[in-house]
Amino acid sequence: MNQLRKDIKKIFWLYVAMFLSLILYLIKFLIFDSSSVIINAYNPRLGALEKNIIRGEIRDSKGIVLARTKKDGDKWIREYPKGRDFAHVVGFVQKGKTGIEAFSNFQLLEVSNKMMQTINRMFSGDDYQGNHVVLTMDAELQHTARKLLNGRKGAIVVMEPSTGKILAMVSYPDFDPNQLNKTWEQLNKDEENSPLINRATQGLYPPGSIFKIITSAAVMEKNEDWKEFHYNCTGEDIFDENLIRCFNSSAHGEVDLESAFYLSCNTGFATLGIEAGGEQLSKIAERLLFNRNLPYGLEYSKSQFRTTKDSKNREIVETAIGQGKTLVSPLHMAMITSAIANGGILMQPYIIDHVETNYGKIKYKRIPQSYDTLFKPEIASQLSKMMTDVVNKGTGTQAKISNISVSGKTGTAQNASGKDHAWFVGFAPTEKPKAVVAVIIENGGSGGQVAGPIARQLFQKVLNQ
Amino acid sequence: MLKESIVEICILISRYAFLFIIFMFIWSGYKAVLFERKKDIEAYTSKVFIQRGFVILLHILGFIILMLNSKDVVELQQIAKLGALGLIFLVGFMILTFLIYKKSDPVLWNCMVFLMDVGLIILQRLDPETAQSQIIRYIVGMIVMLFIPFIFKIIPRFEKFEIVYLVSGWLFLLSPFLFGEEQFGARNWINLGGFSFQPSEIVKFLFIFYLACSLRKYHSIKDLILPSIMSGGYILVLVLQKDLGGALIYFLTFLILLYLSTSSYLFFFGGLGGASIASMVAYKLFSHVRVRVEVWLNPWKAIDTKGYQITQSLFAIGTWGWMGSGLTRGYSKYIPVVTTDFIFSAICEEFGNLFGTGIIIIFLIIVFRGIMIALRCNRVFYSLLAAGATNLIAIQTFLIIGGVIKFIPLTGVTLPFISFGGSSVVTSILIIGILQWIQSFYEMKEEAEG
Repeated sequence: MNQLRKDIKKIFWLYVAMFLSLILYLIKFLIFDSSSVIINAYNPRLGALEKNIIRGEIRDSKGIVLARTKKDGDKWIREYPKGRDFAHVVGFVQKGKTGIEAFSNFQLLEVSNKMMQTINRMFSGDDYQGNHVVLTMDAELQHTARKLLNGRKGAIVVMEPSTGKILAMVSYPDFDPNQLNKTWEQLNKDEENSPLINRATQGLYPPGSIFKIITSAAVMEKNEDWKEFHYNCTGEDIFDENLIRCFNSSAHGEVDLESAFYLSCNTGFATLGIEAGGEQLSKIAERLLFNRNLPYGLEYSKSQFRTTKDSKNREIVETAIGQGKTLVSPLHMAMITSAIANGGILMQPYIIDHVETNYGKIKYKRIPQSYDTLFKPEIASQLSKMMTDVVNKGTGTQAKISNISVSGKTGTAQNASGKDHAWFVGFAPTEKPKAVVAVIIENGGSGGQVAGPIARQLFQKVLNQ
Repeated sequence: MLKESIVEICILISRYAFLFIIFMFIWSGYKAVLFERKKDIEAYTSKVFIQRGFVILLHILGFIILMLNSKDVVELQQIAKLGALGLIFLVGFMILTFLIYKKSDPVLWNCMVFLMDVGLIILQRLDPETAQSQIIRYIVGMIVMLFIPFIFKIIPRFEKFEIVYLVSGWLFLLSPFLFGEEQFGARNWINLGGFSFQPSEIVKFLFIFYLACSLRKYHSIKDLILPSIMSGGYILVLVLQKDLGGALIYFLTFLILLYLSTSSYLFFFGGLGGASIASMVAYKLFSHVRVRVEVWLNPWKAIDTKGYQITQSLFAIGTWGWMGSGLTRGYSKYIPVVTTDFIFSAICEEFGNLFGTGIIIIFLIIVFRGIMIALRCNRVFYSLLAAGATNLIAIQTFLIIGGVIKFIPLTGVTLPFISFGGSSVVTSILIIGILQWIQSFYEMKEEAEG
């Protein structure tokens, strides 16, 4: 009987453990999982809330309204004062929800101070007001960026490397979110321009020479005596029956890694790629989030890297200069560049800074978070130095600003669709980077000539503020 | 607009009031247990009365909110009638159990009646028709339960009827094959003259009686052969009827009673290991088992088909946070079978998750008091019976709450005392009846001896 009592007590503690685990799981669900679960389109609550709640505003970091709900006669309509500037980022609600409108749907419909609002409603008859979502972005910078694209297909991302804040993100061709009801069919049919796609996050492009940043990192990590590397460039060279040419077949002569980098010497980097080898290249690419999910909440495409330790040299030489099967999104390149600018540490990129109640109280303030160390500090600072050379005396002189040191890398990516894509990634000021810029102009031609000046004007805009 | 706003404010404030009520109910229960240990009978009794007061308060507040929200006079009258009937039931329950179950455990009664009242309020909110039939089931269950002391007085030494429990258990369990019907994909219902019920619920009783009878005589491993074969047979029948939740409850009950009577970890963990292998086989063999597990692992993949129930449940629990939407302000009607299996999600949605946590704690108090009763018995049979009865409540609560919050795969069982469903409600009430009878039996004996 005494043994039985002991055993019954043991069983009792088993029940206690089971019930406590229920409570802990419930708490875990509410704290960590529920906010991403409830924004699902199948949650009927959000649709029901929409009927008697005025959707909150979406604002930029300075309080400029990017989306608001206005009364038109007796019905509410969603209005986007900045129109095309924020078409992709802010998204829309008229034809399914996209962008921030979809991501923050719950916050925009969440009523804070419900008691106060109800009392107020008793006297004024006002509807409930949902919370406002405040972005990290800057409407003025965004407008400048869109104007710099100047009707050319492409995308721009501007980030703050020390925090991960996204300051601007544009994509062209775009659309007017205020005219969707009229243009919807046409926008969907336009497969050649696909204006609904956000090229900054969903567009995948061959990186071209900006990939040399990654090849350099691979070589420098593998061989401590990388400074000993020398190569004589004659403008073209054959590797494993694969002919690699430098831009315009110009011969760079005797180069080392640093000069091959700022001159963007393809044959030199093809040799460096072989030296690094497929295994090292794929190891670095994996660490830099190729073929992996990015720490980014909105729609994006995964970058693609196909070279492995079993790849042949003919494939490796193409990979090393950013051609071949590698594809990358502008956002991803901006993230890699911002890790270099930030001493090797990638800050998690984010767009939503905080949520504000209708009485101005701040909720859900986002705190910058580091995501991962992408580069060792000494490699990051070496890359930063080499990128400064690119702007000072290499292919990126068009991005140069007087009195301020700029670092960057140009890319001119061959592709199947016609003229080369023009790339520029970089940051400024070199010593204490305030902005990272990634620019791509589809079929724009030379990266240094076409994308470089755009980056320069964006740096000037950010730094003059 | 003015009336609407006042109702809205009342509902908003009521969330805090409900939370206060459940907190005070649990707190008074905790205090009562402390005073009981110190043998401070006066303070103990006063805490028990405070608990009862909060049950009444819960009932009145709940029905006032429901009435405030009614659309028209007809609905208002219906709610008022049910509310009044509910109040009579609560008070009647408290008085009758006090009179008939001499020296029983009042904290256990209070927890049970609190849960039943939460069930009544949330059912009235979700589907008034089910609330009306639920209260009838509560009353029927209570009346049957009140007969338990008389029955046990007439039939002494009911541990002698092992074979009766066994045979009648089999008859009930097999009856759905003869005149059963399929509901919710499980063939475990029978319909007798318009009154349909789940035999496996009733067999639960016979099962713990049978196990307590046969396992109390344990001397050697030989004594375990017949009970094991019989339990295995029950479980197999339930699996064939596609009643996975039922099979799991029976299995765990068998395992725990086996452990209690043999005190052997080997049997316990051996049984668990065997069950893991069996469930692996079931996973391979039966598509409905695979579906349950897949839906548990990733319900989002099949959100509009097989994952619909559980994802809707998660939306209900997750949307409003700790304080809930307020009674009548949620959207739990979108969850399929919300009045039975998913009632806990509806409670979490409208009363808030803190209140839902309180409900889990009240279940834990019931388990605690049941175990206390099992501990005080000085005959193995009663001890096993009390532990078995407590175990039924504990396992079933864990399975369904764990299922609807996606902690474990969903097995369609009801939440004791709260879920709509005749057989389940009556069985749960009777389980407490048995526990209380054992309690009062020993109290009276002690008093007579002391």
